[in-house]
Amino acid sequence: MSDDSAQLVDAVRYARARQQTLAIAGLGSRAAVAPIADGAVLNVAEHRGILRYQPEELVVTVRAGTPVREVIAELARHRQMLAFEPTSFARDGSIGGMIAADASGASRPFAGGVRDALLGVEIINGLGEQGRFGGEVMKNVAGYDVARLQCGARGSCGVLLSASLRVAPIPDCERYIRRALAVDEVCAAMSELRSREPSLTGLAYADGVLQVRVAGSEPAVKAASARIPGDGGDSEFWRQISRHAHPNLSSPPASGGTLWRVSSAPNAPLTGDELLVDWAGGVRWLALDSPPRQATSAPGGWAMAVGGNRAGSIRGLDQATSDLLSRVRLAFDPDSVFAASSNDARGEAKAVQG
Amino acid sequence: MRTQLPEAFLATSQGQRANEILRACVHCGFCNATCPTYQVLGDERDGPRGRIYLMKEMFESGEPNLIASDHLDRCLTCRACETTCPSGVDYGELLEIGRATLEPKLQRSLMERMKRFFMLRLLPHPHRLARITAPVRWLRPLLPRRLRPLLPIASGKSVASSADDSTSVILLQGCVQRQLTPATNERLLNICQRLGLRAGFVADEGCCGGLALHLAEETHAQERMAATASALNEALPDDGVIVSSASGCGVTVKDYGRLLAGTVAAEDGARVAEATLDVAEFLLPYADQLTASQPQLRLAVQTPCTLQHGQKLPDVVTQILEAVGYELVSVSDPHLCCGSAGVYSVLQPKISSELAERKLAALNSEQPDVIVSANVGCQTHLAGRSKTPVKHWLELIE
Amino acid sequence: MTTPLVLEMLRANLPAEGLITDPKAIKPFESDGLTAFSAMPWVVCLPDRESQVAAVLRICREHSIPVVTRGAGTGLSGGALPVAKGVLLVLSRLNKIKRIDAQQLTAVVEPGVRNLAVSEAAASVGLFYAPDPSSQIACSIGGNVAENAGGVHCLKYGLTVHNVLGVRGYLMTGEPVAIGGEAFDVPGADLLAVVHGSEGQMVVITEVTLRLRQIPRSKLVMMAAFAVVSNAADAVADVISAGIIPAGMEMMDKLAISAAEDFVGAGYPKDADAILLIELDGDVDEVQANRTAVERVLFAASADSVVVAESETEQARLWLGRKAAFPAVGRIAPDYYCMDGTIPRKAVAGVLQRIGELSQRYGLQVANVFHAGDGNLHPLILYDANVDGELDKAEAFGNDILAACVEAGGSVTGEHGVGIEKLDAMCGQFGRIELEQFARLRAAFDPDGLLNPGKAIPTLTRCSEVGGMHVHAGELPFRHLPRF
Repeated sequence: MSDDSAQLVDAVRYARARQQTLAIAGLGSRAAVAPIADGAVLNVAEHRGILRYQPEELVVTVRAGTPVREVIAELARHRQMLAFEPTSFARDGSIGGMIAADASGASRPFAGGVRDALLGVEIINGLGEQGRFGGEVMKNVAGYDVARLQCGARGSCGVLLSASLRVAPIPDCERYIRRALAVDEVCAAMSELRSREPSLTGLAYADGVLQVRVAGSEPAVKAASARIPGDGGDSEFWRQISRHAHPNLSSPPASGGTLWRVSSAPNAPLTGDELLVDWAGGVRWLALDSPPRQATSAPGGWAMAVGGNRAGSIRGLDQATSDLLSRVRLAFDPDSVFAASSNDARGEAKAVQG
Repeated sequence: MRTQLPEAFLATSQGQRANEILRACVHCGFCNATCPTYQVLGDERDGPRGRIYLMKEMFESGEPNLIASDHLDRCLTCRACETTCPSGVDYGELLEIGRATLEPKLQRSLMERMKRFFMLRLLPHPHRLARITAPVRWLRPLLPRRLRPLLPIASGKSVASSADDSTSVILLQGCVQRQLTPATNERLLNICQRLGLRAGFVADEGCCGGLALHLAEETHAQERMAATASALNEALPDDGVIVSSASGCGVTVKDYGRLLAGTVAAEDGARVAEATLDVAEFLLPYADQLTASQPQLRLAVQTPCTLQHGQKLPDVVTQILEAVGYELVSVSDPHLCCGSAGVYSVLQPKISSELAERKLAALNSEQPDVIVSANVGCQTHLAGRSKTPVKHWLELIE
Repeated sequence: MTTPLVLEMLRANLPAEGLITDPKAIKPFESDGLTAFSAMPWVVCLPDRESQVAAVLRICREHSIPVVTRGAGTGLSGGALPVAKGVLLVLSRLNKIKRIDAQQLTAVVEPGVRNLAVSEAAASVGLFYAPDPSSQIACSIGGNVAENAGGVHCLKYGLTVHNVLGVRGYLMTGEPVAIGGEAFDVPGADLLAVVHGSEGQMVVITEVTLRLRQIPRSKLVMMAAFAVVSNAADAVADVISAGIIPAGMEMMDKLAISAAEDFVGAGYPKDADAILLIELDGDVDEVQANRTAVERVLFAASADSVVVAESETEQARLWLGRKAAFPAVGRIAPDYYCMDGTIPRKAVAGVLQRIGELSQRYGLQVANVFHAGDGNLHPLILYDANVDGELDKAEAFGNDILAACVEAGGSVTGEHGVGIEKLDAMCGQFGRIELEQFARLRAAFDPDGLLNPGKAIPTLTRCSEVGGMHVHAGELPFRHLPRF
């Protein structure tokens, strides 16, 4: 547990003064799939520790370098958890990396993601200024939402120093159901479940099997699992996808090409080539030789390469939004101190913390 | 809201009342949500909050505001806003004051004046209307459907059974109702007789003044109200009741206490108002002795604004119809006006028509056999454009 | 370009009766839900089509005319207060629900659609839209996004930002933007979140994709009465510590209870010092299990009585009093000034006590309505605007309350937004670095600062004039604006 914020501020100011670029690095857990950008490394990993945690306030405030696992363990001592399901790669990542990469797991369509639980942040912008945005209260509309902006920003809008995150009680009970299903029935089955089951925390499809996870109070879970057709399963599938360790998600893919994560309308038809479908249909993993086009054409659809020589590059951003993202980045980092990820074609997505 | 009304205006009873009402408004805007004209026009000035603001400005400046006049004219006086208002703003009353302040200062067009004359001098007078329309009654089939009710088929005959000394239930016939939909009064009389009630009509019942109030013809309204109050008062025995089967009349008569306060007719008015009930409210205690005349029909109920917002009786009609065993279909947005609103359909045909279409779509969405109303104005307004028959609910009760 | 020519251009791009220029006709637009502030715009534009919105923006950009967007005008912080010489762009006519997608659990709506209308339209397919500000009957979705509106069910279902999947609209340049859509997340930095609560300073929204939820199978509302306010506050923390997240948890104090009760007759105990309204929802068995647990907690926290409403009508009646509490307070005083601070739950009792002391000091009554579950206080300061000086006193009182919230680790606004009203209070919550960062972020969307200027974020000059957060009693914070 140490406070490195003063050194980190100095480092940013120093780099800015010398027109150096900085690559923000946390625990490096995502390096294999999205490499850290070129530039002098700004190591946030030592800036760690839980700053404030009062279970009845449902909020925890932690330094960005703190390993996610450490936070989870502390919350669990009070029968609480992060209010969303963080994902990680084989190695454990940091809270800062989790936010910068918007590492939201299978419960995203049901319980929300990182951005939904993020209440406040402290950051260092590209001018080397330390600022605090948002707070530790559930509701707060004072000032623009600079805190949530950081989700998925990959460090382009500043170095994360600390974050306040909403927590939730750990559900009493969790159950898993699986059932074989033809690919052309998947969307309908998922949307049918989504529209009538309130206790879902996971809805995925891989290798011809529909995977369902429900969690909540004992009576609710019992009622739900009685209604949902299929056989009992176990937590292994869910553990694998939350650690990015499912065989279908290996990068490079066994079948060749590049691994792409496509975010789309959950009902968009499946092609049958998906390695794995997560987020109730909202995320599809594909192995492709060239960047996906069709899947990103629906409103709000987009794709990102995970691993390979295109790692971190994004498709499906229209020009107006892309320009807007550039201007927003410059609003935080006018002199481009924080290095753009070398693989990002548009220069917007940045080095991945974690 | 803060007000700065001129001393001279505040010195009048109207001014005082206007100030009280304006002060109660907190400008929250909830009223716009249930205002039919705001739904159609989407303009702040065509909702209650905007109209209140326009009136406030007008009172404060002491000058008639012709822009306000347009927007006040577009108000249906359905008073849905009063039902919605959490601050208890008596919008209807404020509007009366606003219109009364404006009307003498307005220069209305010839066409407008003709329409208003017709509404004021002919429509409430069954005999005059019949006499004038008799020679052209054959034209009726040639008229657009919605105008047909203006030319009644036959002159409305006063149903027999005038009130006498033994009468304890006085039935208000309604000047327009007796002319356009005489079946309602006949049925009501039958029901009363079957229930063993001594009911009857007042022979010299004239217009209750509701139409004149709508048109902001204050003097005319006062005359009509005083005359009606006096006639009803004379016929009303101790412990007697006055029953209105047209909620548009009922809402006015029930308000005589306030409307006639400070006039020579004040006492009559208060007594009459006190004794007046809507027919549904009156019959509800007898519901177990009533039967459905056509129990196989599925009904869609249109609760007139004058009943639900004016008299604050949103459920009485449905309660009786359900008690006698009718199946009622669900109707969305039951609080919204059908666009009839007394003379509104003639004065603001465009908005009125749009509202009627919306209302009919809501009423017909579950394919009822019959649409029932509780006010002659709404009934004829809707009947003129509806494929589904529109009746007074009494016609389906025995 | 002269003014008449600009007027002609606007007129040519708007429907009949879509351009209002006569000051007498503009007057009703001078305030939104906060009448303490008023300003006359140059003209009011009422487009009924998206393309007209773009055209108005292009014309205004070309001639450097500021634009304030307004929806239903129910905001409580003066966010839609017009600016002098500016255009007031009213989107109330863009009020169509374009589609309800029961498969994807989404609704695509225009900004003028009323909040409640969405749930009403979705009810037939068993869905609802969760954020439910007390003004939900009237407030519109565009405004909900602009202010990041909350409501009584935020504790479980989140704010507007948690329930919107995408927005489409226009930048001040007239350039169309689409952020998010039907997918669950957006690429790169979360611009969708930033648009929420940006108070109309970034994007003029013309279409919103809302996330719908299934209507819970079972629901019940409990009302607990307390003789001591701090016991009610403790009960809130105890419920949460018991691992239960109610759909809503609201607190009202004596004065608020009395006002609401007089209006709707909800059956509130007028002799109680505080009541808690707790809504539980979910599967039937789950709700019953939680009910038992919550009852136990409430009685342990010294509740005098607990009433449980199971039928829909009874529940609606209990909620009605809460939902109508603000304007109902309008029945016990000529005017009220509604504050909107948030505090950590643990600070509730202390801050309420502080408000009580301030009330004595200022000689103004205060009714407290409170989203207890998420620490969002709504003290309603009662005053009489027709008495000289009372509004100023009420404002000073309000600023002291907000200062107490910030001191307790909270925020000056939980859901009403900063608008024009809380600019000075913002100076206490943020320093130079944050304020400058906000200004740069805004410029990324609107470099000339023409959209809703002078709201949401105070200028540094203003903050230095105010001298940090302390606005002393009697000081007039908004000298540049006409009062009433």
